[in-house]
Amino acid sequence: MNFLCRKVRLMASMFSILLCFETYAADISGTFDKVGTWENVVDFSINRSENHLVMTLVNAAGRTMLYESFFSGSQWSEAEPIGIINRHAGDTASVGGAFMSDNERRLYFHANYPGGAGGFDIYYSDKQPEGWSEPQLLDGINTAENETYPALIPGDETIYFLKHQKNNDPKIEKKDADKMSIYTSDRDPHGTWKEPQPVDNVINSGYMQDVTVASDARTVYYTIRSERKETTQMMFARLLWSNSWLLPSSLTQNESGYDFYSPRYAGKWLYFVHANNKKQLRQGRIARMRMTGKESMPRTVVTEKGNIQTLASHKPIAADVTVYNPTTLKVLGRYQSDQWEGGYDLTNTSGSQYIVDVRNPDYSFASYMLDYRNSSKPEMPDVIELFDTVQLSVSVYDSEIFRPLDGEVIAVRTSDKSVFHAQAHADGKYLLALPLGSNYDIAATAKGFAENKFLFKLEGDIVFSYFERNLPLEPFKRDIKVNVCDVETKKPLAAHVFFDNRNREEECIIEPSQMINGQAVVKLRDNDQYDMTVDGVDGYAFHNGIIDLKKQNTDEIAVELVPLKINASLQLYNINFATGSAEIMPDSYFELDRVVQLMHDNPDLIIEISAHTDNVGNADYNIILSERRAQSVVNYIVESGIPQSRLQSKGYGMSKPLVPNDSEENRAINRRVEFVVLATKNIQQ
Amino acid sequence: MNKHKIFAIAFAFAFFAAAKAQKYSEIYNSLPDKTLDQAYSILMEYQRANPHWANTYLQLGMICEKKLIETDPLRDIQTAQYWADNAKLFFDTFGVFYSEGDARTNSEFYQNLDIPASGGRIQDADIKTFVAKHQRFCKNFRDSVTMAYQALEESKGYYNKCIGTFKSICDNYGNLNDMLLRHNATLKNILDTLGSDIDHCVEAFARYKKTLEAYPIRDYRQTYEFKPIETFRLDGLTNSDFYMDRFSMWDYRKWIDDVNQTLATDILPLRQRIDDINRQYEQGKQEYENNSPFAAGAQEAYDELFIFQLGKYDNNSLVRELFSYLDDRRQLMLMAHDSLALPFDTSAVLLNRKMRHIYRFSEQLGETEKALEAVGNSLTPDRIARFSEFFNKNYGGTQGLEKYVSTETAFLDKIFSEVLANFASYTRNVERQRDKPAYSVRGKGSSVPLWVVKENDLPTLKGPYITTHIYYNLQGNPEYVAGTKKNAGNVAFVAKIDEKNATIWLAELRNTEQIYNMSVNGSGCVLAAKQNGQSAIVYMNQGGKEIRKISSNENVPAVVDYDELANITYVAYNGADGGTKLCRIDEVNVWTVVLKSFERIENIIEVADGILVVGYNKGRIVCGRINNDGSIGKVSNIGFAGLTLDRIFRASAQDICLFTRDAQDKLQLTIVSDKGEVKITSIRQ
Repeated sequence: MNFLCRKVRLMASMFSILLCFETYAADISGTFDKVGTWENVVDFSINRSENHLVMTLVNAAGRTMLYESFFSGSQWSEAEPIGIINRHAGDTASVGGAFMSDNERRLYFHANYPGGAGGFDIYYSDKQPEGWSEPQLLDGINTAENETYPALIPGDETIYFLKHQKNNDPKIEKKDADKMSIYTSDRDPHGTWKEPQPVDNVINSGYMQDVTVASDARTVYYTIRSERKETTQMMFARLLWSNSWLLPSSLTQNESGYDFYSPRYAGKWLYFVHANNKKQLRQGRIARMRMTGKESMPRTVVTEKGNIQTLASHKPIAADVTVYNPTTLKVLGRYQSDQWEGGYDLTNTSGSQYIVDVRNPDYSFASYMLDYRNSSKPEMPDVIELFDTVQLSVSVYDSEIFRPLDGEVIAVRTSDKSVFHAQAHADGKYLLALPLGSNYDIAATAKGFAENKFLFKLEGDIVFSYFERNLPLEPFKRDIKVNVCDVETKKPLAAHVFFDNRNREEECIIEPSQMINGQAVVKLRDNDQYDMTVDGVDGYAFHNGIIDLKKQNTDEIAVELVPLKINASLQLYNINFATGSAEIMPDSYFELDRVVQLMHDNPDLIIEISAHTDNVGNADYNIILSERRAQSVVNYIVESGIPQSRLQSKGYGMSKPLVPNDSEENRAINRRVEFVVLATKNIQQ
Repeated sequence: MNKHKIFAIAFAFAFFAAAKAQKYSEIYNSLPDKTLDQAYSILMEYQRANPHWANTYLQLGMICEKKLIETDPLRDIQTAQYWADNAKLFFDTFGVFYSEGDARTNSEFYQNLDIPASGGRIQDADIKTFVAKHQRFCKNFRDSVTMAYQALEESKGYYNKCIGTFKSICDNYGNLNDMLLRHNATLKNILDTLGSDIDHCVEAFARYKKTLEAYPIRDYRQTYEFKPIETFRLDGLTNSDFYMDRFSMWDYRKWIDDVNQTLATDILPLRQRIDDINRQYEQGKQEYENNSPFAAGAQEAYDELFIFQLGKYDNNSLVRELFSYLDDRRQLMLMAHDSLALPFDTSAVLLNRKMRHIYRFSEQLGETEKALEAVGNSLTPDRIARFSEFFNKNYGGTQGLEKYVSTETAFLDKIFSEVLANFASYTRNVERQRDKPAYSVRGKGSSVPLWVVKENDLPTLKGPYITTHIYYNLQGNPEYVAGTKKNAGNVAFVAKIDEKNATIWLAELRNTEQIYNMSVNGSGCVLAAKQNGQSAIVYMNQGGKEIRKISSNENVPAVVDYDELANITYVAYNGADGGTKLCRIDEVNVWTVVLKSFERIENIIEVADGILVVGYNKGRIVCGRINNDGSIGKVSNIGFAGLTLDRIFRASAQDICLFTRDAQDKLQLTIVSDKGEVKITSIRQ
């Protein structure tokens, strides 16, 4: 008993599916609505929204042609011939087997145009703003035999069609020799159609009349006439995996004596052609009936709409949109965005996850995930913007003081050495526009700085259109040896040496502890000017000077410090007066402030400020001028807080030149201000 | 169920068994010539008609096993599972329908299966062993490929997630430095998730490899290597095919570790340092506002190392601009707190020192205002975002920073006003001192009043001299005194006073109704006077001798200035009806210009290649440049109507300081360049 029950249960589990299919089939006679008024429909294709029909109509001469109609909300429009397809090869070819792709952008059909592969072949036409395009032969499928009734899954990875294969085997009965069978082919990873194979014999079990595939890519509808050639049966089968099918089942029972063809689902309706004669002539009216059972309906799909534009001008662009299995990267569908509007539709099965890649060979790459596992409406970009040029903003700055630099930035394409010049667009920022598909050597230069460069790779998949890079430049520097000693004894002195760059915010300091035997090395920038101040040695005056590395080709600076002893004299540099005046120019204050500091640091110091002139003008005038100038300097020092009693002023005119007044250079040397120590606590021998 | 029915069923089975065996032999014999799919089809067809025939199930099971092995399970797991499940079902069903003795009864149908025979021929037990073995094989195969596939799918799933996460990071940040600086809790979570995901990816792949080691699947032996993420926004964004023998994975883990390392060693300490520096500046400001000793403000808050550390990541930093401003502000506050800026002194000796200090203060103020303007110009969203936490906490974010510039401008104005107010108090103290009646000591000349005598001083005035003009030297002591002699007819006087306030000499000027102005130079003094009803410019030497006089028919000479070096005299005549005139005289009158912009001239100051003239027009102070050739340069209005000129300080050859007072006695400062342009002013309209 238990054994028998176990058997029954197993058998029931084997056949339950079949049983449930068989009980589904409904009686078709008298339960359908007519669609449109056309009486000579051979086959048709209808969109999922049920408002767009492309149908094959037969004329009195037996020629079949494609027509198009739209539903306005209350009725179907007049069927308009698709002239560009019907008259592609004149007025003799027959066209039929219309199949609209899921996104309605491509129309597949069969035709016997001359110049094809032989007999009927499969063609396609694309939707353009002005209508359908010229028909194109579908490569890789057509042979010398008849290929008809093409149907492709969304994404065009798999095709079904009828193939009329002549068989000369004498053992095969004549009636079977011309039998049409359903063939299928998949694309290989390169997009090429593989060798078409007939589907399983459980489907190819009679005389196939037509075939179509639903949006779920798994449910196939077809019409079959049995070997006994009774009326046709409309059937469906569902692909499980690879070439494994659930056993086909009838969609309806047909006891009417009329033929029914071209079953396809749209909405919740089963649409078909109802032949209007019993003579097995294939023509009739389009009809539909509501199906209550769910098994024959295609599985639910989701269609996502997107748009692809160019980033620069927001113009629509044609791009390849490929859907992949996220684990195996197997291609599940290939789509293309419309080149006039940029739109694309992706039809996928809910409950799964996909990777979507967008490519145009001349443009950038985009990719995103569609994940329906936990959501029926996953995130998806509404608009994808592709670009063919990236913007590279290069920030060029001083690598030590981090200030922007005026310079030049260029990009050299490594393949052909084309040069692209950057536009300066903000402080130290340079903008390059670089076409994709190449690598570039990016280099920045600025006067006084070493070049810096990097390789910028724009080959391969580029996702972002804007990049920023920093290019710090190292200044050219020179080692300058600084020697500090006593002006008389030449004894080395450890001093505080301060370099203040006049051209930029840079300071260099040598601390006394860094000096060895009065020497130290400092790196200064080529072509820059520095104010140098040497001080910090007890009992010695400071020393100021200007180091001009643009003009001076020196790598050594000798500084001789004047000891603060009686009659010691120190020339003050950069003391400037207005022409013919004793008024001090403001750029003199730096030096004068040094004197003030020296006086503060040496409170017992008493000095004479002496001014000298060149020999231009008369002697009396120069005496007065130099006296007034010396007094001006003294006044400034007094105003800076040094008591008048510690200062004396004297004008020497042109009486004490340092060098002969025989050139402007020498005259400039003679125009000077000095101070002389009159008294100090630190008496030096 | 009664035994009759069982008998009937058994008979039916037996009958059918005989009929089945006959037909089955045809199918069995055709199997070698069929492909697996064909064999499967015909066997399934036979099974439908003859569900109790055990051998069908065994054959089907073996076909499913072969299909299972044929399938690439890692690329098509569902198909593999399908065949494995079907194989199991068929093997199980075989066991249900297998009858003992069938090995002998239908032995011919077991020959194609290579069943090992324990004896000379295949026994029932052999078949059962055989089936059990294949059942185990299919189960193990299914379990192992499922385990391997799940691990691989998991690994790839995590990797896909990493790519998506990394792309979102690149979306939000322009470059790596930007990301580091703007790192916050949200980004930390994203990085943690990315790290966790890549770790899971690696672990799952390791599990996959381990499964393959135990259960090799075809030739699968994938290995991967990590690719470094070197270029932000270029690397880390493309997918990998985990099915290739060798593939690469972006090394997200290393990238995250490097980011975290940089955060810990550089960014977080940098943020802390910025906080500390800012706190120091704010503390300094507090101390200033509280009149505290200002210890914090006296220290330098940051050094070059900080600039380097900041610039390494933010080479165009708002923080740097802000701190540069705060440092200038610190310097300004230090100067405002200097003893020279305090109001409590009364000694006139400090007057020039204080004015020099105020001039330096105003220069520093100009630098500080420029730095504040640079802050205002640097307020861009990206710069603020790099240190958003700092700016939000301390400055109220973007809006707060915009307001900060206004509030700081007001603060700087306040410091300036305070310094000027202190100076105003000081000058009033000095004036009060100077207004106290005092007389020179009778030396080689008579005693004269050392204050400007007013009307109400006359009754108690000692001596015949009424002082109207006093020139104070740099030490604040009266050096030259001029005025009129009472009860003497038209007699004016001028006297020179030494540092001990003794009269060195006194000279009386006959026929001189009034002295209007006195100009002192190194050689003596020049007086603008009215003599014998005419305008007279009288030149006195240091010994009190009149060395020259220029008379003219002009009206009252209001102001005189003598450049002793160039021997040029400038005289201004204020005329109500003829307009104000300015004359330049050396030996003769070189030129006279009418200054329509001036109703009254108060002062003339020599500058390079010309003079500046300060006066009034329509109640407003005016300053203008006159070139050496008499052409009029820039004329600037100073402040608003109602201001009075307090004093002029000649800061340098290029700048003069105009101190003015309003009706409320508030002191204002305007610095005018030698070109007549206003450089800095404390006057707010």
